[in-house]
Amino acid sequence: MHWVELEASARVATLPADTSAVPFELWLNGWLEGDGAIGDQVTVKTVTGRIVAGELVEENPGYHHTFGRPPLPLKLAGGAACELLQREEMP
Amino acid sequence: MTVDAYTSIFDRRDEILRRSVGIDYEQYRRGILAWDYEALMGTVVYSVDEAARIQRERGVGGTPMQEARNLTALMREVSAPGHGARIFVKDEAANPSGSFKDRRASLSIFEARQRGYGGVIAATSGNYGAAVASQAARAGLRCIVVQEAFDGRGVGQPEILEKARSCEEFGAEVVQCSVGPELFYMLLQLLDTTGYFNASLYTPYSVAGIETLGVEVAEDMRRLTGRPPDVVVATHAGGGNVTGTARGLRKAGAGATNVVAASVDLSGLHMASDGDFNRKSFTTGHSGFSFPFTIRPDRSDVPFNAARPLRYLDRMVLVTQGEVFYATEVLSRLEGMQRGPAGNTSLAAAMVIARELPADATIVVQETEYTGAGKHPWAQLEFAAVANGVQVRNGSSRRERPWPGHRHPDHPRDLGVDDVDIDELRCPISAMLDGLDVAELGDATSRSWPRRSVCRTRSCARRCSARETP
Repeated sequence: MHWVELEASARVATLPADTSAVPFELWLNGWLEGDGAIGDQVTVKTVTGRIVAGELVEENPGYHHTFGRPPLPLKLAGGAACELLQREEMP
Repeated sequence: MTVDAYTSIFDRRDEILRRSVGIDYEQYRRGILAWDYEALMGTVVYSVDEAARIQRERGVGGTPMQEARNLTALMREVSAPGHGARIFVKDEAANPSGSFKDRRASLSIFEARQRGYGGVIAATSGNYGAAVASQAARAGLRCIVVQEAFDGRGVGQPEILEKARSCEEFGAEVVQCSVGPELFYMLLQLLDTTGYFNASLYTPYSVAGIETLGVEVAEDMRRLTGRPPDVVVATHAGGGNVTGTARGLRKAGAGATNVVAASVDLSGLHMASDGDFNRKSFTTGHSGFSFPFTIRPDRSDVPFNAARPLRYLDRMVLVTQGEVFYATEVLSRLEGMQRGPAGNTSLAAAMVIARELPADATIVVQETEYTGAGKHPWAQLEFAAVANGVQVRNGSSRRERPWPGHRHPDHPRDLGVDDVDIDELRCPISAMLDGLDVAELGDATSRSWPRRSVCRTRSCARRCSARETP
């Protein structure tokens, strides 16, 4: 779930302009207490047992970060290092 | 939370920190400015050998030291005749959560358990969170990790998302924040409401936990080469890594070994900027931490920081993001080791320093870290280019600096380091001026204080524009 901890106008004074223009927000995973639909204000029980309130934004959120694509410039540089040691670059 | 609630928590900061760390820091104060560092380190009552035993019982330490013969050969290709030191790598990725941070976490969690705390909290977006979560899981303690994870668009830094996954897999609660120093208030609030132990990176336990790494480096090298290493290079952010390693080397009778700190140069990026947050391809080991924490360590989340890099450093250097990714690539291609990237910051620097040294000298890269989805260089480069419009191309990264853009060296001869004048960083006047408006100093600046200290602060402020508020 997600909630706004501090609106932009209430943030600390010394922030760069781009940071002070946006709210201070939090995200947290936990077990839903009772029923709720996406967008509802709900409470969850966290794995440490804390009860916290916020907006339900996703059910059982996953981890979708990846390894990305091999960056060709870096692969070419790696191949060149192999060649420097007189190793044959694999095709 | 309201502004008043924030003010109220902050007013109780000292009380909350004292209770959550279990150390009365005031007893070490010796006047207005001075305090007794070695007395604070004496809070850790067990010896470095006992610390090593505690760590081994928890699966930590005793990692392999490997000679990187192919990297040495690569750098000898571009070194003057008779030059190109032997490069060794201490494979800290072999620790339970995949980095040397297990050493720091293990003693902190041991202390938390001894002192009867029900859980631990750490504010970290990096490997340390996974280490605390891992050690807490073994000790049966509850664990909360507070991360700075998302920008104002709700876009998460992939490396930090990977750390969140790791922490949650170890059974920790992960509180993810948007960009900003208010994270520190969240930490105080959580410490206050839970009564958990503050597993800060900057307590004496955390630093003492790294001393065992310095001892192992000296012992490994005595076994492999008959003597301690000539140079040890450590990735430098908050200062604990270099401090603990150097203390360990000294305790192992290797005080003559040169200790070099290496950081990624992120000049021009502001640490508290929402817009800059996802333009960084490194979330630690960079100048946004290493400069402010070297100059003024006590900006941390404890009253007196046990990480004091200026007491121990022989040299401090900066490398570029592209150079660290290049080092990561050749470590995979030539040594068959997939590690990093952040832990390879010291490797990028060591490859350059090896060229400066005779071929019979030895240089140790004292850590590696695990790699994985999100934190891998490919993931970071795709994120930089696709999500954040950062240019990625080949060519000497020395030629186009500082920010913006990634340039990867084409050739090992294009690797370099920028030396930082640590004597300037040691200047107390410079430290005092840090954070002050020079114009407000008036006569004090022009008359009685050395002029160069003011200039120095200005040049230092360029790096410190990327400053972190803990």
